[in-house]
Amino acid sequence: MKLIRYNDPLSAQLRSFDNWYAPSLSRAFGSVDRFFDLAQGLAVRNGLADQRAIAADLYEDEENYYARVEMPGVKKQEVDVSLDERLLTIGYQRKSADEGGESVSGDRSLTVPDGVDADKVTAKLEDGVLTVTLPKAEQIKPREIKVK
Amino acid sequence: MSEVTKNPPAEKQDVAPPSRSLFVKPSYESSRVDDEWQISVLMPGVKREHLSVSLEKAELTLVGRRSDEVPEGWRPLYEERVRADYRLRLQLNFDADAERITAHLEDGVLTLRLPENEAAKPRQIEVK
Repeated sequence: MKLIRYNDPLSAQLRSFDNWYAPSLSRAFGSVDRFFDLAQGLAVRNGLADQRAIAADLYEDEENYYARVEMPGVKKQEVDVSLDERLLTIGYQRKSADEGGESVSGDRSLTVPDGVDADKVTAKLEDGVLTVTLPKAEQIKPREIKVK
Repeated sequence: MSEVTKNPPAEKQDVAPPSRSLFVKPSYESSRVDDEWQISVLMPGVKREHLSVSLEKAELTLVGRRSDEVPEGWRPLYEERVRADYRLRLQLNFDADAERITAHLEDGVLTLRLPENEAAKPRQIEVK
């Protein structure tokens, strides 16, 4: 009989599932971390914001859509926001402060609903949170229809 | 510079009244630079006035309250970020000099510098 190692096709997804839920589990238990263990286990990186996926939220109100993206440690001049059709991409690039250090970059894309007035998109970076305001085009705004 | 309290008063509520009861542990990293430990903590959405840093015995506690509230009238279409405040508690395995701890918050990143207590450092004893 031959033993063949079986690679579950789902294992990659399961791993990413773990990645998603492990942080919230450790949050839930509110563990007090041992400084020493972590200091040994974590490599020091040039940039901070690159260590995990950039988290984003999307909201709307009558007038606009709003994308909120976490970019701790990123400066205004390092951020690049672009909108291509419905794909909103927020990226950053920074040169390392140390001489000869690598530059750090990252980006995050979000699909926004149809009907954004692309010429009027604005973005504001405050305390490491970027808020992109995407005004809705006139034709998609809700309107009251008068019954005659 | 945030307040650094050496011995926070017994009534803990005074340190930083959390606006929410839900906390998340922020990402952080630490490194040893010369005679001090540097800790960088990611706290996007926290302003300086809503951050408290305290050291009690060997436990360092950081509480950051978010000020990036979702405005009234915004309806979520898609949410990934956790709506909670940040709290990080670290047990220091060295003797930090509480008087010389500095904290600096910029663009949602808190940088703490914890110098080691001079008296606690190992020293070479000269043999005569």
